[in-house]
Amino acid sequence: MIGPHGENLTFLLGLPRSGTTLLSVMLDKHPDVCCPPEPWLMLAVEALGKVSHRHPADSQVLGGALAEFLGDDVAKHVGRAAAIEAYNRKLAEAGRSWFVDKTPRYYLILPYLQNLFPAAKFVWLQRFPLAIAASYKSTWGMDLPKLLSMDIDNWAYYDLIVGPRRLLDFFRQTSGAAYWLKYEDLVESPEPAVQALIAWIGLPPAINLSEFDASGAVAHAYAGDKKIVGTHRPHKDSVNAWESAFNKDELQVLLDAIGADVFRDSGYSAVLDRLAERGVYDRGSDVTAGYVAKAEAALAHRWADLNSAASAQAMLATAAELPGARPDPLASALAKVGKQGSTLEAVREEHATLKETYNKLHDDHRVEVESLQEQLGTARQEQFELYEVYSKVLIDRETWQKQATYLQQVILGLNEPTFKKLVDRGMKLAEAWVVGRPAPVEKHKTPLPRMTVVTPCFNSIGTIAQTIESVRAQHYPDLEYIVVDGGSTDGTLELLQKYAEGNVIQKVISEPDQGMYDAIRKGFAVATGQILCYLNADDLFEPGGLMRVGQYFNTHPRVHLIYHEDTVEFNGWKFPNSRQVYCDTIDLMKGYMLFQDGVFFRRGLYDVIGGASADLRYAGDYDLWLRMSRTTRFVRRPEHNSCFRVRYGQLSGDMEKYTAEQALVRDRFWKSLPPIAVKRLKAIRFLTTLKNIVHLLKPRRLFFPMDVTNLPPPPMPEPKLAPGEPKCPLTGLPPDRLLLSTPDTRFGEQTMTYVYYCSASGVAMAYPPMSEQELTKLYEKHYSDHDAKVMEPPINTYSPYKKWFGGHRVDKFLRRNLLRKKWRERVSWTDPTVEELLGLVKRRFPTHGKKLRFLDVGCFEGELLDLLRTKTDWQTCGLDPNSKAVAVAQGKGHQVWQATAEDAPYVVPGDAQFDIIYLGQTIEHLNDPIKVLGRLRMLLAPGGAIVLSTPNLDSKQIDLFGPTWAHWHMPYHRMLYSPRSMKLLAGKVEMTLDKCVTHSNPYWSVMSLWLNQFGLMGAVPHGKNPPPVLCSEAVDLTIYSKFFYNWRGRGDYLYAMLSPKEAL
Amino acid sequence: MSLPQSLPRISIVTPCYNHAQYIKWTVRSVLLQRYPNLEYIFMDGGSTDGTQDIVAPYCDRFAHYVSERDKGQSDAIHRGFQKATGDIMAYLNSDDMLAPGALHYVAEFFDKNPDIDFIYSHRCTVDSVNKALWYWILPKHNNYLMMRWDLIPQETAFWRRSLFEKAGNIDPQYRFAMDYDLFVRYMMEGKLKRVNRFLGCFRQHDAAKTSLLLETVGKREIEQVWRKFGLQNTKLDPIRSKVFFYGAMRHGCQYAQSGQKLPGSLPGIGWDYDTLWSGLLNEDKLPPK
Repeated sequence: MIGPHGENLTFLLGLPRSGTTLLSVMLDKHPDVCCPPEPWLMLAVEALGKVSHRHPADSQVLGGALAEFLGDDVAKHVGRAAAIEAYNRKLAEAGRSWFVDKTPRYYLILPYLQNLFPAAKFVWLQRFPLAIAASYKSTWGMDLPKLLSMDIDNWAYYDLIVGPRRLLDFFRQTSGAAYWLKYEDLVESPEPAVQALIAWIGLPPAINLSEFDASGAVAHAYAGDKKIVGTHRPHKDSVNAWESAFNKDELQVLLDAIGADVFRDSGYSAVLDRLAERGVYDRGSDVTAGYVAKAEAALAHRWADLNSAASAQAMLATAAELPGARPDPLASALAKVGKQGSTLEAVREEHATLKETYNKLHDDHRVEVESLQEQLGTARQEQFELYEVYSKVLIDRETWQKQATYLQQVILGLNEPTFKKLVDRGMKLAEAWVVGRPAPVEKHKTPLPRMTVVTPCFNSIGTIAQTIESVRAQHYPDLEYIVVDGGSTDGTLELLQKYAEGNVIQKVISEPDQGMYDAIRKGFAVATGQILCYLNADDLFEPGGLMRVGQYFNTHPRVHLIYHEDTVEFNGWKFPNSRQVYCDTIDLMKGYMLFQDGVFFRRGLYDVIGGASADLRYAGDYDLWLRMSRTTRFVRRPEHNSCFRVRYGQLSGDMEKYTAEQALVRDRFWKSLPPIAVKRLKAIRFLTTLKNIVHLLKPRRLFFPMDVTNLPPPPMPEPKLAPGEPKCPLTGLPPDRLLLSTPDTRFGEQTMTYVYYCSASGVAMAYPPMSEQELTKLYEKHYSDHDAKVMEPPINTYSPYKKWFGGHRVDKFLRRNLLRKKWRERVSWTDPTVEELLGLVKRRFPTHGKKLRFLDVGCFEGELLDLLRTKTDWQTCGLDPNSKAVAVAQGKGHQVWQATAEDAPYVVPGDAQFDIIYLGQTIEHLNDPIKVLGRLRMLLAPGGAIVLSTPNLDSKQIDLFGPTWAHWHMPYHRMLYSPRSMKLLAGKVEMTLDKCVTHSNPYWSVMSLWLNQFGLMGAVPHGKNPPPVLCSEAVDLTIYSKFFYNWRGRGDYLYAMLSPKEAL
Repeated sequence: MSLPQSLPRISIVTPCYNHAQYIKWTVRSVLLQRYPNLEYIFMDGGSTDGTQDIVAPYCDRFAHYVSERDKGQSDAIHRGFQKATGDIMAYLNSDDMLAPGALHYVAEFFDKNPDIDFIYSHRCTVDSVNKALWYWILPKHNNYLMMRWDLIPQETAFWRRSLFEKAGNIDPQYRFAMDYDLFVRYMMEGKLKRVNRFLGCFRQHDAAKTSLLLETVGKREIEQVWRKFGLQNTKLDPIRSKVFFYGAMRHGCQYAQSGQKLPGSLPGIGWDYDTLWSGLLNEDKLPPK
């Protein structure tokens, strides 16, 4: 229990935000100590008898009467009794014996406390003032430097300026009854610090005070630091937080206000050096005194406000008398002014006496002064002369300097032209340092010429939409599309308007006309393009066609007309049209027909001949070509740029009228020719003939025309319009030739696939494009179906292609008569993959070397891995997307991962590398071979190689079987390659084609033979027994290929070995 | 599978602070090298833009992963190198990338050329969406030139541990020219070589430190390096500097125009860096360990 003089009572002092709550929580854990969060009791007790001047009962009378009644003595006793009663009640409630009153702002009434409880003990938890200021900022958002600099009267202001000073003064005076603990020491070593404090207070020691749970009392208390609730032991996080909390200017204000003496007296002098490093210096005690005086004055006025006016003076006086308190700044200031008033008088007197003395002295020394003034005058004169000399020297110096700089520049070559020369020379030197001669810069590209396409139409709602879409899909940069309508009544016009709004068609002309050629004439009359062509309302452009035409005209300025072969679309099939020769006027006179949709000419040519003849109805194009051929030489281009769509019944009726009008046109033209022109034409005729002989003697590879004797071809569903266009992966351009169209000849799916060919890279590709999902569905449907049947073509249907009879007469003769029975017996029907593979890699990887690491991409059920295991000592692994097949292969004990070739880098462990990665008949199934090869390349060990096998587009068997070659296998094969395109493909993935060999195999030959027997409408799946006749023929073919074709790179399929480019 | 022939250990340090947009590409370009003996040290400076979340799936691949406030990029690299144990060392900033196969190339190069201590390559620059922008084609290595001008492409530099031990760690007091300071020290101690290919790519974007600081801090720190090593500049040096710098740029332009292709790049400009990586950078999967 607390005694009358404050026995068993401790005051825990400190400024707000200096960690007193932490210490109180730790002390509260002691079994004898009761330390509730912040009672603030003594501030209220001290105010006993003081009345706010705003009290509604006349504050002056109230204050005076109370002061008289209580007097100092009574108030003191009453306060003490009240406080002891309150403390003891709390102690009784808590069942403890020692009370610790922790209230931060007791620094205001320190003398009063000591006066009241002389036996009480005082503990000061001191914290570094700047850290307190930082905590004000972070906890309460209070920007102290700003408050200080704006001089705002605030309690935080006294806390930081007056608080430390009063506490310091107090602890200096009462060193015995006070304990001085530093916050920094407390958090550095909490347990020893708090134990020492307990010992000093005189309490029995208790263990483990530094681990606490403050979630109870403090969390629900009105005052106190709530941050402590989540904390369970002291930490040092906020000791140095002040450094980042303030900038340099703010720190300066804080240092000025708090005062360097406080820092020094409280043992933080080391920090002053750190502040000085940041440019914050002690600006002397005068600056600090200003702040302190302001704070003390403001504080005194607050006290005065609290006390009624009558007792204010007394309170102020009392405050001034209390030990540790400063004298009232107001009073002292007044006193000072009074003192200064008296001093002023004294100064005035002194001044008067001094003036007298000066006058006296002045009179005494007048003579001396005059002589001195004279001397001064002469000195000034001299100085002036000297100055003139000096300025002359200065000017001279400037001129000299200019000259010197000029000379320096001349010598060093720093003036403008020389500088440039030096830079240029240096550039050349730098060029010489660079390794590798820079390649010639690409030719400046001229933009493509403006092109005008005119479409005449009349009631063609059924076909014109596709025509317009095909023009739109060209993406030609500078295209003008004009549609001339002859007054359609079937809704064509509305469709055209819709496209015109979308700016696909630039101009729509609609009025009745005299026929197609009148419409074309009208269209060309308003055309603005340099290249002209016209496209009938049911024809199409092939992908990328206009671009190729524009580029050709761009690079051949002297060519005025080019013509192409076109493609023919008929019942869903698409064929290349028959081959064209180099033709001139005489050919045309003889009735040679150009494919109108493939003719493009320059505007100048059209203007020179006077435009199309409006009076013709059918043979207007023939008339145009005839007259144009008089003016210019025609150029044939071996590309497919347009497509002619045939509707059944379209041709037969019009053909007779066409021929009749053709004869008319020919006569008219013949009569218009002067005789000399005829002679000249005949004279140069032989040149064209020669050219044609050469042209027609060239082998017709990859040219599969339709069988015109079997029209119409069997109807097939047209492939749905695909969004993209076929694009060659190697050149990135649309392919320029159509090879063939084919249904699925292995499983009998009724889907059409068009096969295009890019002559720049030698790759054949399938169209329409198929997504991975569609392909996967197809594979799942057919590839694992072992019961797929051989499908003979339905009765009365026939292949739309002409029959391929298995080669030239000479070939057949040789095959039948030169081969011996011994050779035939030697041909093996077993799977030759392993032999072919080992034969390819044996030079590069000698078998007696270290164990090769081998990855089979697309290993299926691991057949190849089985064989390799028996024949080699390689470490073999596999990769396949088919989960069932993977399970089978793993059952055989192979290391097989389940993933697509594209995902190989994600399933193969990071440290696994392979010497050989093998793609057996896989690459042709991939939509994006470059991506897959690029990824597989990352799995190669140094010195490793990718080996792949794929059908050979240069195969001799294509010449023998045409569209029924078994390896077309559309739509499953997406791309087919030749050795040439393999080389390009290797370059695309930074590899080189080390070796490329081709083989033929009786199995594949018999598949082709069998399919050839059926024609394209049949289907021949794998694993069936072909007729024996075909088998023996296939054996012949294999031997024949081996003798004449395999070694020339024209075998049925190819093996390529790609290895990374050596970069070292 | 058995491990391939013993490859030297390569240590790569990536300091990162708030580069969430690019960090995935950077980390993947290192981890997808398929280099078995890689020690990848990731030093995150307490990023606040979700970098940690993006990096989280790759954390188990890092030899060390530190995410705490640091005193800046150079400090992070310094501490990273203190942890590194590799025979070959490098650091890769959090917006740059390596070319596919770069680490295997470097390992093989150091194996075949025991006299070379430090290699670097030409510089290829991409923009914020990985499109190739421009190239520097550098001349053969020359100590005089490279000491005076900060033109070694840092993202392509690899050096041996012996050189690191001789010439020391990165100096954490620099904010900008820490690589320049380091490389000058290396040039004084070891033998350097410029290889004729691209080993990585450098990203130019608005927030890149190189573009932000070059004019102010960069200039000052470069001058500081000159003073520190007593690199005396003659009066012709501004010209030579121009010739050197523009020469590299000009040859880069010619390289791009000519359609030539050195390893580690595709012809011309405007191609996607991910194409060079066969689309691996933009995906999320990783090879099993």
